[in-house]
Amino acid sequence: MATEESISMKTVDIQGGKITFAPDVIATIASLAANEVEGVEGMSGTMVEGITGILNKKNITKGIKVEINEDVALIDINVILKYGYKIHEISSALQKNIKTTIENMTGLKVAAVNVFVQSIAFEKAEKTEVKPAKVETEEE
Amino acid sequence: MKPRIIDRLLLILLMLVLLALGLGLLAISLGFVPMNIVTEIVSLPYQSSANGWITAGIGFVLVLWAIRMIIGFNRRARKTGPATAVVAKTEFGTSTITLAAIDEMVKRHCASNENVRKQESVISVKDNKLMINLKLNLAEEANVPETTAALRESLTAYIQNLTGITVGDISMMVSTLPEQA
Repeated sequence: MATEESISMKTVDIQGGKITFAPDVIATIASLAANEVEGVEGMSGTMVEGITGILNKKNITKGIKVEINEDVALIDINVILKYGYKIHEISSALQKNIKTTIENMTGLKVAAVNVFVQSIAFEKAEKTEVKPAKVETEEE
Repeated sequence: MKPRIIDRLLLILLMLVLLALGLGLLAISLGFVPMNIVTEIVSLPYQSSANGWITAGIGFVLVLWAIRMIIGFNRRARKTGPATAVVAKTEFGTSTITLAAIDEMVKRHCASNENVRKQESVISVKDNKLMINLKLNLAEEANVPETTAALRESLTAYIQNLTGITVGDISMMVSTLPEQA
């Protein structure tokens, strides 16, 4: 009897046999491809993923959802971007890199990579630079 | 729509009352509670007008409680705007950003202006364009028309440059007027 996991796996028919990919494998590849893109601070996961990350080892597929329908894969990725980078350019680079990497490594076709920018990571040094008004007031 | 916390608390209380009532009825049926006690309890409202009023009050509270729960669990969700804005839709997929992230960028840009002492912002999306509502406290020496015009221009360029999203409108309200020299 087919389990939920085996239904969602993608099987690629090759000469002499079949290759089956678990969604976690696709998610891991997507995560590694995303972290290669300059401007990406990290992935933004759900509360459950955050708690399990605290309790267990680091979850590399945090913030990535993989859906495999028939011949194509659909990737949803929740990211935190670094401040100062153009968001539309980073998103485009993410989509291209993830799609290319998965298609090259697995042979799967990627229908779409949807990027959800959850927040922007500001550097701590910038916080002090942003507060000149308060400092001037105190000095007066 | 998800019921509010108060409705959930009322539901828990109701469950406890029903549990107590169910246990009481079980106890009566199994003979643990003598008949004279049950008779005495049931006849309480008839013994005096005060008891009658108390019973009426309890009944009124139960009716209100039931009505409150019916309303609370069938409340229609208020229509709220989207919490994200679309950055781009391409052949590779869709990119979106949360309005909270844009709001943080707006706040930091306003705070970096030397004439802005304090700012509050509300971001919304209309026709795929960002609508920014700002409430500003300006410095005493600031020229209000010049400061707001410059801020509107710089903020529009800043958001459009960093996010790629078109800024539809920036509404500003200066909540504390600086003393003009």
